[in-house]
Amino acid sequence: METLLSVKDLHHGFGAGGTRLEVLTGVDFEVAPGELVALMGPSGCGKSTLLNIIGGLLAADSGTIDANGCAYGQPPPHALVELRRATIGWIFQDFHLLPHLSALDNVTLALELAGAAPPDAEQHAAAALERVGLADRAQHRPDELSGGQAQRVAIARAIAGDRKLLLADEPTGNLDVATSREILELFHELCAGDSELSILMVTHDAALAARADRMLLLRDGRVAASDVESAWGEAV
Amino acid sequence: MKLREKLARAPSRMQAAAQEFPDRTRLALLSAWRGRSRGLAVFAGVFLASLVITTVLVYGSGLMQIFFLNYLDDEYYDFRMDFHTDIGGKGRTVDVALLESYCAEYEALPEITDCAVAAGRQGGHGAGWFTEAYLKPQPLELQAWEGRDSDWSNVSVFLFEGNEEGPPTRGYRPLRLLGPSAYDGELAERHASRLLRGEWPDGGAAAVEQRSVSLPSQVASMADATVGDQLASLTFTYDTDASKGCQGEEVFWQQFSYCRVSVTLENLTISSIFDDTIVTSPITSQQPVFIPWELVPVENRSAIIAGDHAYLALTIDRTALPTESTDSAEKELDRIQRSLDSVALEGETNLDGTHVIKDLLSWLRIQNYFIQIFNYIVMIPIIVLSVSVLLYGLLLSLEQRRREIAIHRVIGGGPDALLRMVLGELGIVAFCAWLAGYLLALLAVPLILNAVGFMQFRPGEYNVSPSLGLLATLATLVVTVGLALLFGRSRTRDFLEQEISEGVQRVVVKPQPRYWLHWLLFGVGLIALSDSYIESLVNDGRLADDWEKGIISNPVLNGIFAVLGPFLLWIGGALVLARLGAMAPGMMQRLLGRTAALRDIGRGLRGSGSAEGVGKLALIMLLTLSIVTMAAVQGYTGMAVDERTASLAAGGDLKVEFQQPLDHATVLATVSVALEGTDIAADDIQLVSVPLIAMHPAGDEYSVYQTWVLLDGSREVVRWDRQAFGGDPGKTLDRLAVGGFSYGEQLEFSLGKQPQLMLNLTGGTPGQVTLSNVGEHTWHPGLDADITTGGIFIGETSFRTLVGDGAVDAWRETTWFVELGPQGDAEAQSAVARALAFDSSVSKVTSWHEEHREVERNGGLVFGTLGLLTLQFAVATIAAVASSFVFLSLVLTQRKRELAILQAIGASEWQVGRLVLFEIMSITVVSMLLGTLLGVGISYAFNGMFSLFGLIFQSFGGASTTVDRTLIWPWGELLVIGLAVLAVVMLALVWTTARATRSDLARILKGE
Ligand SMILES: Nc1ncnc2c1ncn2[C@@H]1O[C@H](COP(=O)(O)OP(=O)(O)O)[C@@H](O)[C@H]1O
Ligand SMILES: [Mg+2]
Repeated sequence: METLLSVKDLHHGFGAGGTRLEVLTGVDFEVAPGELVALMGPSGCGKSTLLNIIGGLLAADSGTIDANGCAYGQPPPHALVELRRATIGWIFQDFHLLPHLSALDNVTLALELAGAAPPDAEQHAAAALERVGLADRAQHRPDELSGGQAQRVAIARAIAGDRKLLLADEPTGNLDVATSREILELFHELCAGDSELSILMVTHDAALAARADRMLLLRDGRVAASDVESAWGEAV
Repeated sequence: MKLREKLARAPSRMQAAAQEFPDRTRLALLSAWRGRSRGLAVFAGVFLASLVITTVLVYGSGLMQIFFLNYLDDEYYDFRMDFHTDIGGKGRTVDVALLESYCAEYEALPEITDCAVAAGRQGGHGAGWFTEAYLKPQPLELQAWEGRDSDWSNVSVFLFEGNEEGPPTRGYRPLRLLGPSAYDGELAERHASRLLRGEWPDGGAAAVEQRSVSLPSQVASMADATVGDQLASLTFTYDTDASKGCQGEEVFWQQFSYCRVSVTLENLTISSIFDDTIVTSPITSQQPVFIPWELVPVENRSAIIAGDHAYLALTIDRTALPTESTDSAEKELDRIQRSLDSVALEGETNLDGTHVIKDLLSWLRIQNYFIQIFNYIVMIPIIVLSVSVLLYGLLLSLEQRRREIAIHRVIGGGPDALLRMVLGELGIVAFCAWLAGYLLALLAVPLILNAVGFMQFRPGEYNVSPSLGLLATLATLVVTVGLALLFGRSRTRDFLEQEISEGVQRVVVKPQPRYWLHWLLFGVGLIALSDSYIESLVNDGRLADDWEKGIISNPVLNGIFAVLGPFLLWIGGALVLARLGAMAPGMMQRLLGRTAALRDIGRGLRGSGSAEGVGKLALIMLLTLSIVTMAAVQGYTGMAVDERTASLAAGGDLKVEFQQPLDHATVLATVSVALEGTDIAADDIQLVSVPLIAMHPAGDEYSVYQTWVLLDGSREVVRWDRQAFGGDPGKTLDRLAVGGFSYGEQLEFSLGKQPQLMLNLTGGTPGQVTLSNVGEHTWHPGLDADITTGGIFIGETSFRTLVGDGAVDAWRETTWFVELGPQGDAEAQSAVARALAFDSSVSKVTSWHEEHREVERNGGLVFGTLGLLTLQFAVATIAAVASSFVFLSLVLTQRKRELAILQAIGASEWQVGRLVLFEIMSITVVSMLLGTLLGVGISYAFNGMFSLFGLIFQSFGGASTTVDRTLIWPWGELLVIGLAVLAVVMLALVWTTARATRSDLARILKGE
């Protein structure tokens, strides 16, 4: 199988000495291009930690990651700017849009930071907003958008730079059931499109997870199962 | 019922609180120490407030002491003993010998160093200021005098100023009779120290034998009299007991009646001339003529005693007076007074002691009251600044505790417990800050009192060690710490409420700032500014006199605007301009958005001005930098005013007044002799006089103009300044030199509109010149402005045409100005002045440097102003730096998340750093520029207020000509300060940004 992301023997712990907490104790898994993967697990098991390491916001203690040909794992976040620019897009529970910029500016800024020329960036940003169905809200500021719309802007921002992998940490945590469904629909559309986008999504919602292509269960610091049936069988 | 319950519970609650107190304090201390970085801003705010409030208070007490000591020096005696009862009452005596014998009783007291019988102003019997009875006591009045060696017919015995200043008197020159022991011991020493010429008689017998009279220098110069000259006669009057019928003349004045007798003394000899220019309070401003008591026939002396003029003059050892405050000195004087009052006298005579400075003290208090008001007004901006630093510091500290507060709330800490926790910490920090500010103020005050210019210090003549009483100390504590707690309480409440509601609904509606109010303040301030600016233009001669009153002509309204306007302008201007400053990043983006510097991050600057912290950064920069500018401008202006005041008095390096008119060669010879012992060569010096002639218009012999000739040399010798002619003096002097004339204010009506004037010399040779009008003059440095405003100035060429070259070169004048050349520094000036004063042909020498010494601490206003402005400057600069630190932390704390988001979506550290740098630096630079601009505005606006106070203070001091405050602009210094603040901001920025970009991104994004 062709892989977009492969994580090998990833270890991470917090603190030192007696209070040291080993959170990840050898995580191994792979994600194929165009795949929508749901990551589940009990609260505090290290899902966010895993995502942060993959997304280059946190350095692992050991282990390697390969995302679209880019190998990393231990280097600190500030050395992984290129990774976040070109390969991995982030979607957060709190949306994390810049409050004083319009939807379009929020998306454009991300492109410009990656080096796109302003006119090009604006065009691409508009196209990305179009893809998430928000072309008519381009000039609105985040506080003028609903939660679902804001999350769509965040998604537009993440996909605008032709990134291959989206990391979403509880993207629907602040949304109601209907909106969550819509967001998941959008994820499906994005993965199914010809861009071969992959999404790794943390969620607590079993119903949503069930609609993913595949599910990973994180337990005791390892990936315990990688398909829906076995995961449910062990977890429940 | 409820109250009773509460009361019943109170003891146990108090007990509980008392038990908890040590524990709570310990906890608060601990938390304050742990949170010391966030407490820094609160500390800074309280510290500044405490420093400023304490300084002004302590400064007030120090000032009072200096004035006190200064005035004390001008008094000859310390206590006077008067009869307890008024004329004709009980417990009095008319026995001359008996009264004199009492001195021995008083001198037996350890504190009393000297005692003499004296007669002068009648006893006051405890009448206070502002009472009618205060007007009743009258001095011995000089009625007439007749010279023998010089002409006294023109020497007036009437003091014109008498009715204008101080308590009203009938306006005659007073006389004081001094008993024999005033000619030996301490009293003699004090008199001798004030003499300009002659000797104080050596003992009472010598005084009587010499028939000695001691004259104020003003009288001596009016009479052109010198030591050794004789007075053929001198007549004075006294008021006496009329209960058994009045032997003299009955006089009515105000609502009182007096029985007045006159005495004539003959063949008096001028034995000394004393310095009467020492300006004290109006109480002592009328200088008497001193004559020995025993020259007056004994029956008159009895009558003078009966008329309540006589008293005993006592001295104490002044160095033994406590100096830490005026109050303690006064207490000591009161104590001595009580022991004086308890002395039992022979013959049942009952004498009351008063210390002469009692009146002085009440006068000083009134004056000091004005000064304090002024000081506080000047210091208001600093108080406002420190309060705003405090407020924002509080905000920052709460912002940084968001997480901690959230945790506390989660574990069950209610709002009250949280409030107590925050206030406990705040209290500790505020207390430490108060203490630090208080202690620093005690150290700073001597420095402020020593300021001889803006940012220049030299120890003064009087060494005072001012301190603050317990009550005042507590007051500063309560005000500063109380303020912090009060603000802390309301801010924390708001914050906690917001935190709670934010948890529920996330979007909090912030109240819109009241922009209309900002604009209103700014607008009113601008009106005051234009008023003040227009007035300054008129003063500088750049605008017609019609505008003299500015745009607000009503004096009351003008006063209100003058005092309030600057503050409204400052605060309103800062609020309005801060919005402009906050827009700077947006403008930057528009300007540089397409360049390499901003192409990738420019979009991030859009709308950043709306962020709360950014607006506040702009505001605080505006507030501080404008005060820095204003303090520097007013400081340098004050120095210029002081120099101008000295020039106005001295004219040149030296002003030498001779006994008789002398010509250039003679004066040169005299001055050259005085150069001995200095480095100045006779070739270095230049002399010039201002010949005074009388002229009248052709065909109108009756309107004579006093005409002063500004010789060519006057340009070099005389210290000209812009106020002399209103504008560049060089240009006006050029035009005078080629046949122009200028006129004084009093002639404006008759000469103001005449472009040309044909004048004839009055008397002497019949010369005639035609002169062109060069405008009005205000004064000539070194000449009495009251007189020159009534005459005209012409140049040397016209003068030569009128009287001929020979007459010009041999011209004689009494007043000469001397330029000592490059070697003529302060020391040389004093040396030459001293040497000249010994010359018998010289009657008076004024040195520029010594005149400057008198005023150099005033800043054109009042003693210590320059010190206060220096303090203001220093504090505002510190506040600018401190608050920029606070705000950078605040801004970056508030935006930590935003910066983390930027990094998560692909921004490099360099990009984030650049974004912050551009944003903060553009705000800082623009706000600083706007702040300086605002500073220029408030400098003008404050000038109106300073001129107003200057007028008050100068009239206190008795000055007749007020010196304009033409502003001086110290751009160089301001640039240095600006760059320094910018450098500090830059450093702080690099440091805080580096910290922000290296912090744990994952943790921040989790949204703590
Ligand atoms: N910065 C940190 N410092 C210390 N412990 C941390 C930190 N971040 C997370 N943890 C701990 O690591 C564990 C995993 O956290 P997280 O990955 O956020 O869990 P999840 O997202 O699965 O709920 C938790 O027990 C948490 O307490
Ligand atoms: Mg998580």
